[in-house]
Amino acid sequence: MSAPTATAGAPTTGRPAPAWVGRAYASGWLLLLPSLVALVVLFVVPLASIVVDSFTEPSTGLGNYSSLFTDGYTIRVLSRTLLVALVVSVVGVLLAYPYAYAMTLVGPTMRAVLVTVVLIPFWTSMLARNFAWMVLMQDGGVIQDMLRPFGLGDVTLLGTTLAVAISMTQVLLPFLVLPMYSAMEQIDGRLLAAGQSLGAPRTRAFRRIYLPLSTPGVVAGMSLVFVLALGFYVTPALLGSTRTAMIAQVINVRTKELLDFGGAGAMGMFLLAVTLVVLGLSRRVAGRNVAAVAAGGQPARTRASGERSSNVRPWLKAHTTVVAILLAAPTLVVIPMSFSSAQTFRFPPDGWSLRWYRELFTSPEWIAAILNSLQVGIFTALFATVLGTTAAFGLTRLRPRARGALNGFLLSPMIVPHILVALVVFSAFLRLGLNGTLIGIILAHTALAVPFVVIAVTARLQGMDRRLSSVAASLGASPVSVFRRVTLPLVMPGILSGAVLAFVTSLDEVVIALFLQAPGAITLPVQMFNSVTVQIDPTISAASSLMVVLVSVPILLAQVAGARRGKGGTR
Amino acid sequence: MKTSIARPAAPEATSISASGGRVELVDLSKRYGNGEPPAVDDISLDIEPGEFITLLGPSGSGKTTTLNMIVGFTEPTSGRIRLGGRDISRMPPHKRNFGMVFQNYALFPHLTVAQNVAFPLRERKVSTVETTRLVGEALDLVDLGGMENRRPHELSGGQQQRVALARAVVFSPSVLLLDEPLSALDRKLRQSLQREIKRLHKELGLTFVFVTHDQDEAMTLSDRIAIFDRGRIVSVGTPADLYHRPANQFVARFLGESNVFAGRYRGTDVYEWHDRKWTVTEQRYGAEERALVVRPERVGVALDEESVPPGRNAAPAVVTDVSFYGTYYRIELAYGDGAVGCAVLPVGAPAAVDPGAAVVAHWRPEDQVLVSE
Repeated sequence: MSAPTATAGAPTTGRPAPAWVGRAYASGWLLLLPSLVALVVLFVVPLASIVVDSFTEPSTGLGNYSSLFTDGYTIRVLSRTLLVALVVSVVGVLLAYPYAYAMTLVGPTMRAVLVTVVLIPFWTSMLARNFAWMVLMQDGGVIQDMLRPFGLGDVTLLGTTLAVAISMTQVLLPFLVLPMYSAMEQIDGRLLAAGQSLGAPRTRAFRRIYLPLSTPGVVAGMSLVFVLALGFYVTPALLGSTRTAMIAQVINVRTKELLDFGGAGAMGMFLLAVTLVVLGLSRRVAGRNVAAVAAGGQPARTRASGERSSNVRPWLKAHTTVVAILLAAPTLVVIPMSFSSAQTFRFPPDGWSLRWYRELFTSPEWIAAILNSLQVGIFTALFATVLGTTAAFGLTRLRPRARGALNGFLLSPMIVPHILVALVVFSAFLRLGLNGTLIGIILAHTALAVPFVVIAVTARLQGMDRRLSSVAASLGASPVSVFRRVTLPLVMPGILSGAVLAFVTSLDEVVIALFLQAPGAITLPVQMFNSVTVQIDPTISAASSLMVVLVSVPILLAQVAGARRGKGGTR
Repeated sequence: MKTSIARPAAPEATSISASGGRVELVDLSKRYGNGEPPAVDDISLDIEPGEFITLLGPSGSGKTTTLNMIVGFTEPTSGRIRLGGRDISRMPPHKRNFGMVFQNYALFPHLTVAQNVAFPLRERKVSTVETTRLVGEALDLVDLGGMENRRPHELSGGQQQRVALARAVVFSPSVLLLDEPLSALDRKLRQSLQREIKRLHKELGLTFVFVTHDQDEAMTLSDRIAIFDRGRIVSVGTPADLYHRPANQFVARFLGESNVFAGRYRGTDVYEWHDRKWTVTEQRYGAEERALVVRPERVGVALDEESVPPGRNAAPAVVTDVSFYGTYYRIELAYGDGAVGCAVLPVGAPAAVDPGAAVVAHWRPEDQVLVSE
């Protein structure tokens, strides 16, 4: 073992906790209070009232639920939704698994490239990506041109379930690659060699050793994508049609047009139930295998990098390239599109100009949308950071059992499908008169963003050597001084990245903003959404490019700052 | 500037030094729960000014809890801690003016070496000029001059621990507490830092309270050792005293190796072990003393009863293992009643024994100690 170079080590012994811990429980609850109140008011109470509605509106009983499984139209929508979600997650796994595997084989430079490619979709706003797919799939678009030589030139893609599925697969692909990659990273590459030395041919060694060990990542990614796909609203709304509606679209119509909170609520509850079951099952399956991986010992990194790249077979290279193109394609479409001179969504553009940027920055609607989005994003980041940071500090002071339960509660907005959050918030804010106000959107986004801050700050706090505050006290620092001079600087990178995540989440959030929109309260994604559904306005391409900048710049800045500040901060 | 802190930075040249403080632990106890046995059970200990005292014991014996109570991280359930006669039991740690060094260095990762060492000075509102001077002096003291602007993660483990030492003494505390400061280091570094710590102790004249579970470390460094077992101090004394005259079986077994015989003390001068009657020369033993202890280097090995020198006590044994250590052989012995022990013989001693051989272990009566359970 090499001598430990980092200063921080997890507290090594189970020594009894320091004396202040007893007093800390109380202050822990106090610190948690604001976020708990916010979550209960913004989320739990409205959710409960929707649950009540689903059993009482329009008449008391299980009518809303039984019609889920008896009404022909609803059954078709439900089965279509489940089918699409299943296909998207399975096809996604088939695309992502070899890509993630290739990431573990290549050298450091190539790995950095592949990681960047996976992250590109995250930096490109959701709406921009869907818009890119609209451009690619439109009649006379690039994909039709490519299919023409095969005699398939007249196949209409836009408005079909196929178009929805393709686009959703691309949009959700990073959620598959990343967990799989992190699971594969843990696998000791020498295990395969060991398997071969024990007489298993290469492919069988892969199937019997590598595949089972990478299962946790596959299960985690697949269930996450399945769940996200179930509640997807934007993609089916933009690329599908009412004839190919998925459940989220139906919830939207029932909520906003019919104000049928009972029916929509029942659908939302069904979605939530499926989500919880799938995530619960996946945790059990993945949890079982995680132990096996942990017992597997050293990570694959120990192998010499020279031997790595030779392992990348030609077919794997080809596959990885295709997936990389798929991941980057929408971004590569959106940015050139924004410099088009044409009035249409033609790609590649026939001529170049800056007219759409001029339009973006001169049209009062677009300017208002940009300013609204920035305003909502900044306030969301502010509120979520304050609430999430105090909550994370509070959590660390609780007894382990209470901590686990409350942590789960604080993170719960993450697993609830956004469409259900939108429905819940819409019905609650309707009663409070907050619909169509920016403050309403800010509050709803805050509830969504708090978990990100909690996660980022908690990770930082857990990585921090708890004894550093003891040592500071022994050196003469009063509790206030300890917090100001030791704890806060060390946790700051977590707070900053939490704030950035909160800002970006809010900036990119469409569904809730769509539900709560009103003429005075239109955010940039909503304006973009409307610009393709309500009117055909190519300004969206300039707006998409602006979104790429708005989203990626804070992330990059946070990473640079994090790299500088965090140097040796935690392990 | 308030001077509730022991001593403001002094103007003389060798400003990092202070008179050591006297620490008294009086009937100190710590309980964590009613059902559990106390972590520290009614201990009392006087630590002399300038003394190097080691709290030694197996893990879970209460030594670190005791240290945490001294520094103020843990509040005692009962009892008092006094510094120079003043009760400090309820004083928060940042007002006690004790230096502390932790096992895994616990340097502030966001600060440079110099900023780490300056930390306690800034808390004490020492002027910038003075701080720079003291930090330089402290770093010179631990041989780290020129490392001021490094970050902790750029240093080796040994260097990090030196920074921690500098940081713990730069504000001239009256007592320096060290919680297993060397256990994360490899053997060689450990030895060089042991020397460093000893030198610091001599140069600074502080009271050192050192916690370890490593008996060799305790023996080489300390003026006195307090041996902990299950929350109690079972023995206090100089290393030589504890080794040669262990007060009880626990000390005998914990500190160094021993041959322990469970027999019976019969009145004035006879110790009975099975059918053997051994001579007892010292008369200071009471009735409760049960076990007889002989240290391995005092044990001779004879091939049969006849060759045991006259006047020695002897016990038959079987050799179970012989290992060569360069300067000596270590011979493991199994006695008839299941007890095991060992003898250490200098290289060149005639006894050429192999595992399995039946031998007779013998020693002078003066070299044995009778101890309580």
